[in-house]
Formats: sequence, structure tokens, C-alpha cells
Amino acid sequence: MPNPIIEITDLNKRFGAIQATHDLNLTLNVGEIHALIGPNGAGKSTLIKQITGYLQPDQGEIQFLGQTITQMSPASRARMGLAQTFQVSSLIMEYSCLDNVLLVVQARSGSSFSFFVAVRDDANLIQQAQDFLQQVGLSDRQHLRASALSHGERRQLEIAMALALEPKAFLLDEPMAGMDPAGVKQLIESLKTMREQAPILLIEHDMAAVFELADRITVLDYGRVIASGDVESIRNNKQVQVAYLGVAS
Amino acid sequence: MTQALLQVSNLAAHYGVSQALFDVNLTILPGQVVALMGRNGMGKSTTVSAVCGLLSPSAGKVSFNGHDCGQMASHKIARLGIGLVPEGRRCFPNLTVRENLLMAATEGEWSLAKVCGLLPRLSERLDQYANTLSGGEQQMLAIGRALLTNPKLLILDEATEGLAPVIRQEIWHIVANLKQAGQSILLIDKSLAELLPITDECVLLERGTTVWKGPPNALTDDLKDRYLGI
Repeated sequence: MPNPIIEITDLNKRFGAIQATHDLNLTLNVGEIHALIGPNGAGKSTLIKQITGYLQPDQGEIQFLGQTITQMSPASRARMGLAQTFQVSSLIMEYSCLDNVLLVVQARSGSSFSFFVAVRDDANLIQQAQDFLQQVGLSDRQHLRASALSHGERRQLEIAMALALEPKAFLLDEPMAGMDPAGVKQLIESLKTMREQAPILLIEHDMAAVFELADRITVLDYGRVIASGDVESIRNNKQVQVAYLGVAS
Repeated sequence: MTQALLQVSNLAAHYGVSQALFDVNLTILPGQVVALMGRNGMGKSTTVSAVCGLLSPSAGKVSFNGHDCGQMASHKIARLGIGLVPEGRRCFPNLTVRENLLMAATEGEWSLAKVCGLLPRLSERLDQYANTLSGGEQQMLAIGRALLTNPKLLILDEATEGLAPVIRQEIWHIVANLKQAGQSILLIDKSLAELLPITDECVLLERGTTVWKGPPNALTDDLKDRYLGI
């Protein structure tokens, strides 16, 4: 019996005339990578924002770890263990890569309440932050400002920050966008390890990566689920081929 | 001998004290499609920024259509005929889709109607503000905006990023058609399978330096492994 970490029931969200989320039901189970795909504007990022609390649904319920979180603030949800990366990078650009990760490690460990050791001098925190940077292949960039990173490297840094939260679920919004093929290969391997730590809800347009990683795929179009199933059933679904995959995929 | 449309020679550039470009060399002839390639952080987008005047070169030369534009303001370079689809979209969030599209439009083959035909999702959203679009729709808007400038040189910096596969196929089909029609294009994209068949010349960057130039069929597995990590 699957054990849902996230359970979404009858979710609806409307922006004026546009129904961005339409009677949507979805689960994220322990140990799985559940990919969410669909045409541009289908409502994928809108759904993620409702899960993280940056948008309030009009109707429906979201449960996380068995608790209803629909009315909770984004900060409370993050503290419960929801980690998100964004479609558009949201780093502190003036900070070094190490400092960006250090900030998360510090927040999670609660060491911001220590008056005796400056965070930048805390060898234990620094070592943890460096380990997360190493996991995403950014060790040699740790002292560079985030603003000096390439677009793909910023995505890698976001993953390191999500890892540093040691969350109960990852919500990854197009983590491979802008990454070179080598970076994509490395990230695929990282995600395979991350799923053992916490399940992953993955929005991604790189279908080779999705087909390699996903245990389940749900396809959205105009805010509705038009298909959901394993890789083979989605790959062979005619409606999905027409609406999203195109002929050659 | 054909005069180059874009000639970049010994280009160097800095972000503050850190040097991003050391020695970039790149030539695009009229009607040519050139792919600028390299791993993340090797200077591809920085080169584009320097060519477009968004970052002042610290050394070297950038010449476009016979104009020395190394220290020229970016809007003047754009008016010379460079249309850019920048990495990260950079649409104007508080302008409508229509306003974004028309703000830099010039007379030519590409009209608002033609762009809307190409990207029908935009035609459904013409009066919406750009900040209400999804990420992929903003990408389409950036492509449409660049095409409407009817550029002499179109620069596509990860233009298919964030787009659904079916739309990506459409964009690559359009790029192939633009090439057929004689459009000069500078391409940066990670999808080699789509990129290489329409490319005339590949330029490989490694740590801000041009390390190899040549036709796609000369791009050996060794080069791909060494410089692209494939």
C-alpha cells in the first residue's frame, strides 16, 4: 500500500477567466520520483506554488505528512520539511555559493541562536555546506558569488540548498533547465540518491531525464490531469503525444 | 572574400575583478548558423552579453556589419540589427504581451500576425501582462519579440529552455526554415541532436577561451568528451 507524503484532493485555482488548477488529485509516495509534465501554461508551477503555500487554492485540500497544510504559511511548510527549487533562480546573488548554502544549514541546525561562534567560523557548519556543494559538483565554485555563476550552475546551487534543508519532500521545478549535458547527467545521478532521502515531485521538460527517473508521470493540460501512469503508459498515450511530447519523442 | 557579419577577435571581459572571457574568437558570415558551445560557466552567455553591449569588453574587438561596436551602447547595437533571445527570458513584467512584442518591432518579414501564427499561445494572451505568463510562455514571448525586430543576426541563448517538447520541435523547425531563408544565427543550446544538423560552424569555449572551431562533422567524440562532457 503506497504511503503518501503529499496528498492533494480536489484542488481548484482560478485566475480570472483561466482555470489554472481544475479538480486536481495527486499523491507523492515514499521513495518515489513523481514527474509532473504538460504543455507550457498547463498549471504545473501554479500547482507547486499551492503546495508550498505561495498561492492559496480556491478549493480543495493539501496534506503533508498526514497533516492538512492548506492554510499554512510557506515558512511553516518549509519548516515541516518541504523543499523547493524554483523555475527562475532565487538565490542571494551577492553571497558566495558557500554562504548561500551556509544560510540554509544554519537555519536548519538552529545555530543562529549561538552567540559564541560566528557562522563563517563554525567549522562544522562549513563542512556540512561544503559537502552539499560537493554533491552537486560545485566544490570549485564555493567562493564565487552566485551572480558570477552560469545559469546552469545556479540551478545546481539551488539543489545544494534544497539538500541542505534535509527535507521530507523535494519539489523541483525544472531543475535541469539551462544545464549542459554533463550537468544533466550528474543531476540525474544526484536525484537517484536524493529520492532515497525524500520523495521528489519533479517538473521537467527534458523527457530523456523524466523517462529515466520517474516512477510515475502525471500529465496536466489546462489545469486538469489528462493522464497518469508509469513511463511506458505515458510514452504510448496518444493524447499525451499530441498535446505534449510531439511525434519524435 | 565575403565580409563577416559578426567578427569577434581576442575578446576579454570581466565581472568586477573576476575575468570571465580571456580570448574569444568568433566569426559569423552572412547566412551562416554558428553554434557557440561549451560546458556551463565557460563564457557562452558572457560572450553574448559582450557582443550585445550588455557587458563592456576589457580587451579585443567586436565588429558587426562593418561597425566597431565594442564600446557601443546596447540599444545602438540592437538597432544595427542584432535580435537577442536572452537566457532567462527577461520579458518586461508590467507590459502586456502585445506591448512586449511591439516595443522593438521593425518593418520586415516578421509581423505580429506571423509571430502569433507561429506561437498561437501568445495570440491567446496578447492583453495579459507578461508576469502572468507561465515560464514557457515567457520564453515564447522572448522569441517572438526578437523575431519582430527582423534582425540581421538572431542570437538564441538557450531559446528552447523550459519549452514543452512539442513546442521545442516547432522552434527547431522554425530555426531550420530561417536558415533556409538566409537568416544569420548564433545558437547556444544544450540539445546537440537538434543543434548540429542545422549548424554550419561550431565554436568551442573552455574557460573563456575559444579552443576549437570547425564544422559539426569534424566535432569528434574526443572533443565532445573533453569540452562538452558528453
